[in-house]
Amino acid sequence: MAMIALVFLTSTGADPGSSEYEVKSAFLYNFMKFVEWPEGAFENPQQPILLGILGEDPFGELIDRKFAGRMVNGRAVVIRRFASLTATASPELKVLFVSRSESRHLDQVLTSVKANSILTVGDTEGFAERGVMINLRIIDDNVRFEVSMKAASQSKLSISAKVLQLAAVVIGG
Amino acid sequence: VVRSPSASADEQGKDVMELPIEDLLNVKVTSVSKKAEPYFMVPSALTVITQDDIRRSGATSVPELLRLVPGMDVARITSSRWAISSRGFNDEFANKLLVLIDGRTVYTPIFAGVHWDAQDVMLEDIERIEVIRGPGATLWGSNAVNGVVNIITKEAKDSQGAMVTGGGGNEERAFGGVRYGGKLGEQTFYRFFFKYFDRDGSVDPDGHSIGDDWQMAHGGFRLDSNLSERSRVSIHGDIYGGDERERTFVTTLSPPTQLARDGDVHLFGADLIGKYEHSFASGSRASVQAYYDHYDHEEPLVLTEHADTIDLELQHRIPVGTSQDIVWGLDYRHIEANVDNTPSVGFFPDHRATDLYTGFLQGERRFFGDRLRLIIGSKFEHNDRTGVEIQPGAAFSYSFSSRQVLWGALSRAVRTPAQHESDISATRVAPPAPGSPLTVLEVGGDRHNESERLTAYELGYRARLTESLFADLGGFYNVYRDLIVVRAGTPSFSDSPSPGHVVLPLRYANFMRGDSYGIELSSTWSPTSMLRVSGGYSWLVLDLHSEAADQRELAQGSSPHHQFHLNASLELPRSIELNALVYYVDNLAVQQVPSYVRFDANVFWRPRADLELAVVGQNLNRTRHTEFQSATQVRTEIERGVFGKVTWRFDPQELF
Repeated sequence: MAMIALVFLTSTGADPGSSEYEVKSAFLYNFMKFVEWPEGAFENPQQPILLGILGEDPFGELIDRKFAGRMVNGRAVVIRRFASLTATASPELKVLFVSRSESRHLDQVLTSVKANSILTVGDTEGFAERGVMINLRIIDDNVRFEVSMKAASQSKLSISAKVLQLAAVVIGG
Repeated sequence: VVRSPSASADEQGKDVMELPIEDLLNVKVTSVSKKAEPYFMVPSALTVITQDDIRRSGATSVPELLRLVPGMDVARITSSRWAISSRGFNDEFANKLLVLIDGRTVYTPIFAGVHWDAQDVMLEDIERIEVIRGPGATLWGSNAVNGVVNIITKEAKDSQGAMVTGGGGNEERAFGGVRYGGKLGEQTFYRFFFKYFDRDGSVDPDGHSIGDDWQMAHGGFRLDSNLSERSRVSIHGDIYGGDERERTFVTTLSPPTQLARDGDVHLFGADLIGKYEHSFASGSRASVQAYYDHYDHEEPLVLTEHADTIDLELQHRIPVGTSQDIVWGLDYRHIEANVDNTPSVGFFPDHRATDLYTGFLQGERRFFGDRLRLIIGSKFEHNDRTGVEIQPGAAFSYSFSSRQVLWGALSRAVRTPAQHESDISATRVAPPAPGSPLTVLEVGGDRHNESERLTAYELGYRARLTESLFADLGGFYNVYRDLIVVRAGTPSFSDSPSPGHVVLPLRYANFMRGDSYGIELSSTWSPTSMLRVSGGYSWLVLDLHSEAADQRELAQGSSPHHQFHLNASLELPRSIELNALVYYVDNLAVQQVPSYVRFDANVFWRPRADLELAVVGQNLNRTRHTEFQSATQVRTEIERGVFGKVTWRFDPQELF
């Protein structure tokens, strides 16, 4: 029946400013700190980290406010929204948040970014199993996350042991 | 709108971006829209009870939880029996409400309704309860006429670690539960649980104990495994047993014709479900589910039931392009039902094997960038009693913006005749009435009854009025045909057995029709992260027609016209939480049950992240009150109750 319910239960965009996405923004910030990109992924030590949001944006302007003026290991964070997959070909893209709205062509999205070392993050049931590296979930009103080591190692990203330790679920590589 | 239970008061204003990741895990997210989020566009009168709602309610059983749903009529009849329905026709076996637990139907085909006493779930492991008021037959099939209750438990990976909970009080005399969830390899998670409770009985109008206390033990497990990136399997099962006492009327020809007798009731049940899901590269998803369910409901004073159900289900959801989905499914169900006849109630035959074949097809199409959704579908069934039943439905939802949605639905649903309505033969002496002769009622079934039919018109509107205020308004107009009630035949006189008496035959027949209409309104308001207020109001009118005037009066008068509830939750510093719940239920004139106000309140305190202490009060405003008068049970009243509860969650590996 759960699957049937999915037919009806298709989400709409979230309220900008809802606390859920405030917390999820903070998680994104933390993940960036604890992920190591392979050597050569950045052109120089000052190159900003480009965070892309693909599909219907659940964060709204809140995430821009949250990241304003913040640095990750000496790099600024730039946020861009992408409506379609082609735009994600940018070589500066380092983190991609895949919105729930992309569920139906998730496989295509993941295939297209796999070769580049891009940290993929989602917040939709089943995304980790389908190959998104970190999937945020809400369990009993707390935000938890699942990590797919397999997906991360395929893209040559290393996720710190600290994050793995705190993950609700780790899918092996 | 963020609070951290571990943070002290002056830290609470801190930007979450500054929090280390381990603390972020403990931040509670509370947002008005979150709960409604995935359901915002749904074109039906849907209410979702979350795990947070369950905890805040202080309820200890599934039936009591349903009071949180606006428009749901939940009436406790005795300590272990409930009458639950929506949009009218409430009774101990409310026959137009379909209930499922993890995809397994618990609607009994013998009496058409739900044995609520047997539907026990580990409340902490419930992911959510989806309640649809109104028809759900297009997807769920027959008997989903006035509502569907879908109880969904958490996946094993979402209930990891150990939990021990226990407590007691005056009404909830003692209860306890343990759950442990662990991992087998990288991709396989499991949990098992055991729980027990001992509940006090209710009292008669003079406050004397009726002795209907009950005990129940329940164990179960769940295993979820990702076989590959695309496929997963889930297996779960339960086993339970319970003992209840009841006080019911047994009738005799010689005075006093109505004799209250005390009897025992034994419950036993077991079920096992397996489900396999696969996502294809094309984007389509399929699932196969099989379950077996057995239950015994042994009630020697009335009737003993045994039922075995096997169900096989296939579903396939296919995206067609980016704006269309097609879902289809097939289902086969085989039910073996046995009853142990007693001298006063018997089923003829006392054993029935029935087969139900079902298929459904539904399409959803989205227009104007997903603003407009149209859903059209139908269920097709074949059952042994009434043959083919077709239950189509069409629905739309239109979002003016991300903040406002209008939805509407037109649906048909049927309720198939239950076994008792075709096979029963029961004899009762009518309660004595002044000026009436001694009368014996001979209730009989009729195999030729047709299904009850509903055509439902629904319209609803949901809005996030502000960041902190959410409102949901819905209205319905229902047209019922061929409702089954007992129809009186020609009375005759008999002097055997003596004394001489009138025999009145009563046959189940499609002998009532009518309309119902009403509105349901609910709202949630969360002005700060510390306070959440939610409320609901519902209004219901039944306008039924039948030459069986008493049956019409009974149906019209067994559901309240007005219901109202208001819940408030307040977060205080030092991880203290206060919840207060007020319910108003209008009178049930025909049952002489006056309107009542019920006040529940509870306090939670989390001295540590892994420990929760609670004191819960139920029915605090009155010593006792009546909620429903069943025809065969003595009048009972529900008492004020207070209990304490401790819950400890931990990871056993970290303990040593």
